[in-house]
Amino acid sequence: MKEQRVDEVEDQISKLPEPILHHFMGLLLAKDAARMSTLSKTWYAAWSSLPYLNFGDRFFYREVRGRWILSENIQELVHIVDQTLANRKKHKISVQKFWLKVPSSYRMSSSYVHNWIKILVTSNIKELILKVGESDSSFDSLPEELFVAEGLNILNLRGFKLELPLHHGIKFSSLRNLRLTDTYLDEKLVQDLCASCVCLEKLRLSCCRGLASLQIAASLLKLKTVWLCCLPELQIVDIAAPYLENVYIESQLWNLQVVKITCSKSLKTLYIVDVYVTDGWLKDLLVNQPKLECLSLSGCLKLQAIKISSDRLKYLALSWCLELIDVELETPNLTHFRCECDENLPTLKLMKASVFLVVELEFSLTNILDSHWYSVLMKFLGNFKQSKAIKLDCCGKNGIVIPKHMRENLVPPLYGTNTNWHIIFNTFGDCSLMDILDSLLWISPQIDTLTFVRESNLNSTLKFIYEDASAEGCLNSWNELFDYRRRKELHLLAGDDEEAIADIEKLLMVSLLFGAFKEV
Amino acid sequence: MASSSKTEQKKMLILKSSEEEEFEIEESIAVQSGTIKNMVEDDFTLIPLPNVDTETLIKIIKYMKKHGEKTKSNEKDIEEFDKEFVKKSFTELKELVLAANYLHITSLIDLLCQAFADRIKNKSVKAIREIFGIPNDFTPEEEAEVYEQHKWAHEEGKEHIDHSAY
Repeated sequence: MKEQRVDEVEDQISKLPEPILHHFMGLLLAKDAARMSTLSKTWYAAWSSLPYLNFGDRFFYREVRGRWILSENIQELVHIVDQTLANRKKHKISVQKFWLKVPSSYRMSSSYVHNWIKILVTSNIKELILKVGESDSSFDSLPEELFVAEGLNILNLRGFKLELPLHHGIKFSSLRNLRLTDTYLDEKLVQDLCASCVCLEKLRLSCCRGLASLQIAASLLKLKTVWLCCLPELQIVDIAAPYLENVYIESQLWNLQVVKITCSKSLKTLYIVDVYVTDGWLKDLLVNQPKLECLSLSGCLKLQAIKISSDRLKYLALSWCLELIDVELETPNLTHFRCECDENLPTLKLMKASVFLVVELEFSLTNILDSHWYSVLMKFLGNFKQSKAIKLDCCGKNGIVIPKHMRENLVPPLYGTNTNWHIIFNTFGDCSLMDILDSLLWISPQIDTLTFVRESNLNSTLKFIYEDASAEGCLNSWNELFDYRRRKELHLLAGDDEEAIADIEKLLMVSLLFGAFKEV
Repeated sequence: MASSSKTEQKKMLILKSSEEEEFEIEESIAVQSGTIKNMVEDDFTLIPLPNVDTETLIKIIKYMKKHGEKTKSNEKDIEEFDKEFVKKSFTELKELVLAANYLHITSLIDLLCQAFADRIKNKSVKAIREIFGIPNDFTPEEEAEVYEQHKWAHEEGKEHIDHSAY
């Protein structure tokens, strides 16, 4: 092994080409990169010519007893930024990336920020991340010069008001990625942005005010991803960009009334949260977007019946669509299905899905569960005979623990299949691991593996290995498990949850008759 | 010079480490390295790499093989691989970045830069000096001046400064 000595012969890292040193330093905060200037002359030069200035979110703030508050010496900090930019200008280094969070304009004069922006635009900045520290309902202004940053590729603004420049149009001809948070902008500005940002690929608007209607024009030919999150005044969205692939729309308190997506059959991912989309709307969308691979509908309270027939769909999530009654899926390539709901479980008909299907179920149950619930649940689970794994998180009462007296009237839905179960255990309320396992063994007698996860990442896996592959005899209870001692082996895979393993061990140790019992 | 063997219509190359050990690899995978690509264009099939030792070359080949089979569906798989790949000592990472630079494998250089950046974030200057093996070529006066210029960056504040070189 080579010795680590601080020796000139060994220092090959410093001899790496400067672009690589710059790339590396550009991944650090300015503070960390600046510190490296004291290492050696090479690193001093690398810092001085570093075109990436990540002052970061914390530059003007200090941590005091776990909270971040504004530093007292704002003037000093302003001076540091001024100096750093001035040094680069002096040595003709054009700053390519600049990231800084500033205090709001009533704590620090906005003239500093305006000045920095002007310098950066002259420097042909490519990536600009500028945020205002305090999130309140006021918006800070920006200098008009920002809008002539023709070299800008990535623009990330937070806490500002975007106003149309008086003296010239918007010139973001190279802008690829635009992210606006806590921003004020109006429809006219959006129109102008759509007209000028011909290279725009990704648009993200969060918590923006000023827009009642958002029209994303068809002129944005390169636009692939749109992300709209919590725009409190927004009522209408009309996305006409023709080659859109990914759309995420999260409404605020169901304010959004109309969602129109008219791209040409290019959509791959669609996430809708808290919008009153109807069955008809969804049907039309599925017809118009046959390439859809990923669909997530959350809080879509008007949906009642969903029918999807698609070769491309790989991921489907239905969360809290509380009025949903019927779901019919003919999706041979579906590898991931997620369902989150309360006691009103919809009827599911899974006509075709991939054998690699992983099912994720999350039930929030607050009422007392009756035989109707268990009956519906059994039918629901019966859809997953061919699936690879079922993950279950059952909040509330004993959702999965079927009382023994009810089992007489039900058929084990997963009889004859080797299911892999994955249970999140700590939320099971007042039933024990034994109850759950007992119930699961009834539901799924030829269970293959059972992994249970308790709080703080404790998880353990039980693997059931059946020596004879026949489905002869099923395990209706732990007692029967012991009876099949000669044919079956129970492997307890290494797990962190010692308490639970101890519980199981105790039960299993009841009979040495059980024979081969290995701890792996 | 060894002749290339055509296995299943895939052209193979032989990479030779600084310790003279030879490794066979598909050309289509090896050309992720700009350096190797250039040599292939000059009709080399035995590629000597005097700047890369065996241990490092094995890791690089592993990386190229994994990234050579990149498709749209296994993106996550490759992400996991990359995450595990950089869980190495600083010494190993250093050897890798030097080799990746010599071989012109851009994606690997990026991955390693990020790994370094993540790990030296809160390290003291002293620790970084040790990790990278950087000798101090400043005079004491020069060093003091540079320190003064960047005093703001050296303030300890409430952040934890890590002095260990691991």
